[in-house]
Amino acid sequence: MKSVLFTCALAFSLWATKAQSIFDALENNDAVSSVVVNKSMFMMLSKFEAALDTEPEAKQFIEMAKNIQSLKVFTTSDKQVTAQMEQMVTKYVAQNKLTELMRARDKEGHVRFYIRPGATEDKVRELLMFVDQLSGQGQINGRKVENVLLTIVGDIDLNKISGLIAKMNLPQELNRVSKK
Amino acid sequence: MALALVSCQDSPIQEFFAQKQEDPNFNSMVLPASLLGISQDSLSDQQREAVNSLKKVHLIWQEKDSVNTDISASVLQAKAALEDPNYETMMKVQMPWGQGQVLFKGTEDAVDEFILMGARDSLLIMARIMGDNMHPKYLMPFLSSMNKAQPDMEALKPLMMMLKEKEVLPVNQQAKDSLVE
Repeated sequence: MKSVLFTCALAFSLWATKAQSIFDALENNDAVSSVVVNKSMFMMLSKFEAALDTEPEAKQFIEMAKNIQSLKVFTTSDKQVTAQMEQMVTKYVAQNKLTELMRARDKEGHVRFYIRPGATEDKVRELLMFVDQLSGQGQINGRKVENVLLTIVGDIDLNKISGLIAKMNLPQELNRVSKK
Repeated sequence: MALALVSCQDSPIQEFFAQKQEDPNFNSMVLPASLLGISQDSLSDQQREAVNSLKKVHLIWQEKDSVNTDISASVLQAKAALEDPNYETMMKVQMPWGQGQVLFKGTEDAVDEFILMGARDSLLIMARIMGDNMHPKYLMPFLSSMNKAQPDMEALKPLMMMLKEKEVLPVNQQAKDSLVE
């Protein structure tokens, strides 16, 4: 029985890592800036924060960070790569049965959010954001960023995401998913 | 049994460090924690635990100069070594101005080793931070104990020179102090 469970767990973990791999190609693309943060980093960050005198905001971050599996942010200003990203997103969303949370369009561009639903309406297991044609304020470390693909996998409370955004310097667009 | 298997396995990262230590095109430096000159007497218990969990730091770096006109091959080699199954990747960053990676070995509560890699056009630098049960909670006590440190500057000179030249470290002493504060 144990070995069956183990095999299932192994198969699941293989499947889970494979499901993410569609975006991995972007990591080696010269036209793409990327930040990939894994579970162990979040665990250590939350332990590091917990050892400090904590403010409420930090506590929120600790709670959130403990349950995150991975965070990936890809940015590019290359048109072709953006088209490639968009294709990846469409394919990924369909393959993994993500549901659209929100879609917005204004003069700054297109923003799309997809989620993998979790236990409740506010808790999701994955949050994917795709920003297209962002201009103006969109700067990360001085480089004008036009397009962003961001994915967070884990146990994510959409209402507590603001602490994470502030701590990790994530795009402000993410605040839109919070209902508060 | 499992432990024996793991320890027998060749580690590409460790091999890379060993190899580059002998490579004339690379600079290498092994810093035992004692070189930091932190006197044990003046420390709080937590600071002492933090300081004692660090054993040594092994640095290797390659600069772009008249001999090494192109370091991109070394960067690729380093990245290949970092695919080491014995280590877990914590973070990867790739930006137009450079790239970096952080890996570790051990558990999140008791880290045996951290590996840092940073690279840009003109510089590749890697650090292997070896310790014994390093815990993330030690980071702040460790930094605060550095206030009392009297590092062996003569031994650290080549490293400091390189870091200042490459503007990795702020040259201004005041700015440096504020980092440690």
